[in-house]
Amino acid sequence: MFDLCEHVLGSLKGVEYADVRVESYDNTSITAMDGQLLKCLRYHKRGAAVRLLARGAWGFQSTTDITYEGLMRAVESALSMAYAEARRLKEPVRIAPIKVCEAEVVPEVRIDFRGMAIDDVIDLTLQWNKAIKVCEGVARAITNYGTISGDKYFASSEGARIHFVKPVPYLGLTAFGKGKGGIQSYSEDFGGTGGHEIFAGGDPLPVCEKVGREAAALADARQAPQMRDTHVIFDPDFMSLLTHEIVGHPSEGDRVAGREAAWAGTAWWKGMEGEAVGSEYFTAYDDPTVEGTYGYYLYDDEGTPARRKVLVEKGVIKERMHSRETAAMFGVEPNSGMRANTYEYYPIIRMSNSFWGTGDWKPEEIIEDTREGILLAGARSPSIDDARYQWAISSQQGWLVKDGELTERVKNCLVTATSPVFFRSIDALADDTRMGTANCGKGDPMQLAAVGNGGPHMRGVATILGG
Amino acid sequence: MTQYDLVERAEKALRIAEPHGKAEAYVAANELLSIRMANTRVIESKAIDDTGIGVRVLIGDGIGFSSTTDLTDKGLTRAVGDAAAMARHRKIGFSYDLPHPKKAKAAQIYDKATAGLIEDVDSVTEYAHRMMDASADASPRVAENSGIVNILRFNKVVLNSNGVHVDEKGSGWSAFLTTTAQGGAEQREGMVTGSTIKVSDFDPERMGRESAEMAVSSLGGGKIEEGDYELILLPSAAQCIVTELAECTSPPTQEGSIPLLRDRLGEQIASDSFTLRMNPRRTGFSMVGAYDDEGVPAKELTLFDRGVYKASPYDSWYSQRNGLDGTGHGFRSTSMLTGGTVYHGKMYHVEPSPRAACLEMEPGGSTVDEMIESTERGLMVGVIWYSRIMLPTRGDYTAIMRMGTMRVEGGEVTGPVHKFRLADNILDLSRNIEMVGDPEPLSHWHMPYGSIAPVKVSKAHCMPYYD
Repeated sequence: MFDLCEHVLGSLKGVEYADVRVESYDNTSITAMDGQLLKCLRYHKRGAAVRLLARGAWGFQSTTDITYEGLMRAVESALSMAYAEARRLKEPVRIAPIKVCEAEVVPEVRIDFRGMAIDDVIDLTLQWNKAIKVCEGVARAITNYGTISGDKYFASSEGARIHFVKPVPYLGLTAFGKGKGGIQSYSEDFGGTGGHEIFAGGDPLPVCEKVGREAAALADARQAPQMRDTHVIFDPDFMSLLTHEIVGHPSEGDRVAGREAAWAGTAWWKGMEGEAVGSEYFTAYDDPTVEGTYGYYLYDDEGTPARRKVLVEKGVIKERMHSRETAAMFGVEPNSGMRANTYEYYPIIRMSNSFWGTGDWKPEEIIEDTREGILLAGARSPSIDDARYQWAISSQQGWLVKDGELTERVKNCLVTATSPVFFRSIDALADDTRMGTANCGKGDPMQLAAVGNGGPHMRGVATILGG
Repeated sequence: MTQYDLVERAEKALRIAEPHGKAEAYVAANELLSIRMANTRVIESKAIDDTGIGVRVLIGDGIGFSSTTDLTDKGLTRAVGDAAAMARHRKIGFSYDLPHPKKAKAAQIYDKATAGLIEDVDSVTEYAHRMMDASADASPRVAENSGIVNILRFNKVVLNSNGVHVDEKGSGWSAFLTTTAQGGAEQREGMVTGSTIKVSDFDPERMGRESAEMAVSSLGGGKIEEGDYELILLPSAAQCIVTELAECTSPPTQEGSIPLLRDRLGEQIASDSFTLRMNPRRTGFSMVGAYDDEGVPAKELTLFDRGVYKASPYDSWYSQRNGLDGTGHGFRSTSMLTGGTVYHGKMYHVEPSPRAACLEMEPGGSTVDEMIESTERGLMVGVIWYSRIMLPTRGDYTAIMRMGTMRVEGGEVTGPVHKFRLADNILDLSRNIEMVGDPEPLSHWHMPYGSIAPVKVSKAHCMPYYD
């Protein structure tokens, strides 16, 4: 495949930079509900993308025609786009240099799904679906199983040649419990780079049963009360979404630079690099190199070698996620933040695995240390201000905390705060960091990227909109 | 443009599938050109050229689906084989048949001049600059402009063993511009969207001017006090709530994620001034045409009639499962596990599923001026951001009131206010709609087409940012 890429790149004249991606995917997606298969599909796609910088402007064309002729048509089209903008350009685009690499990235897979017969995969999905219906209170069980088997070749005019293999399994488990107080849902999911070992070591049955039991119990729980400026303790699953929304997104260099202002928004902490924005318990990273994770990669889609980025350290803003272009704008080194979902898309700055640093408290010590408050477990849905300044996130469930003990399970919890006030209020951080999964939407046209997010139990102050 | 004859490829797929059973072939060729703006310049000039086929195979009481971008005989054989393998395992549990042919009156969804812009990058780039220039010229307080111009050209073909034969071409443009105005340290935004099939409707100067006006007029406001307000939602803001409510009528949504309207057909859900219908035949951007994505004539359907939940959209699968007539609303939407493809266009890689789209509100006869005059203590909103039903079984709803936020007192607009959060319940908000204006065509990044009216809600709980 590199021969084709080199043939195309070799024919380019008068461009400052170019890269070619040729990618193929074999995906499977199965949805089971109450023992019946609702969805069962296979998806094979293959295509290529040409991105180039000519006369100081970018052009990009993707195509499903991956013959040499098809790719040369894509080159011609990308050039016409660059030239159209170049005529109106005030400042040419500059990109920061990177170490040019040749590499092959093949992640470890222990329980390989790629050779599995479809009968076996369907049987597993139905087994996991049945296991959710663990008790009478489970009114509905939904299992979403999916796999992506990707293969990508990246070649640049600077000489980068990188071959990526990407095996990604995903399992989503949802139960609807029906009880005295109506219907409540509870979900857990697994996603990562590897094989079925990502699903709780290859045996998710106990988690399926837990999902059913939690939904049934939650349906009988009482409503969460309104609690103004109270102590909130977030569990690692809640932290996954929180970190994603209020730390990861505003740390993206393109947001900070105003390049997402059209719709996704900006970053309230723009221009505050080196300033303190939170307590000493606020440390956060973005790290694509964590093996087995949903956001794992060793080179981004500009060929930049991946590395851990320290976003915030002990409350002080340290680093943003960058592409080669935003790195040049900020006068820093590129740090491997640039990814495209698949060949159709122009790469943009994305999170990989964004997670909160680890503390030295035990989760139970945080609860024991709390006179009054609420523990929020699992996250449902976010609604975040465009500058990531103010946020509201609903949790799957809550536990009231009184005099150092969990006293009662509650449902319908929605927590809200402003980011700087909340960051300053954090006063306890546990040692039990866990990485969750998210499918993050960004860009226009929108791209859904697999990312990992996580953190440990943490305590701060926020408001519960319950009642 | 693809080198394949789409009808011939669809026929070939059906012939390959014939020994297995009945089949459906959905072939789509999409070309999308996007000029994306930020920091008052073009930052991404990009194009997608994507052709593929989705095949459904019906074997006895089983159905399977597969898709591919490989339209060679070998690729089609593989896709049909995968779909047949899935069909042998996915037992439906009810008597299902693919749709039978029905004739629909042609819908005008193709415009030659618009379609021709796919090859005219220079003109499309010029549209982007004209929007930004008009905005900058409107006021010295305009600091930046961001947005996008999209041009889409597509061809979809649906054939099945029952004789359905649909071959539709379409085109469209969509654009939006977000203007940031600066007053001292304060920044406020304005936004205008547009989308139709005819590029002759595209008025970049008007869009630039109006976006700037909204941004500049929002400067200088203060915070609101937390409390219940009368709320006037201009069409772009109203569409968020209307879209969320409409989505709750979709059978898969009711079964899987938001059961808010499950088993409530015939109930008074909203106030009697609210009537909402789907009108897929009204020409718009991309999900519109004479036929849905199964080749069934797309019908007008009233979802809410004077506030009563009247009907849900159905595709052939959900309608036959529930013993109902199909409504011609089987659309192919997106999934992370099939590549996360969410560009504007026809998605061949997923099965059809019923969705509430192409929304059209019935005119209510009130003007925005009348809404303002009738308001004692209220707020008016131009654009809502991050609109979410946070608690899916109860309907707790929240969103950021992001742009064009004004205070209304004693029947007059008294000045701008800062962004704030709406935190209420979507069913309560719907019941509290007391005035409806005349609808206007709108586009949105997640809703390609709608005709939405301004509304006045008698009571809505609003919160400032506490910092």
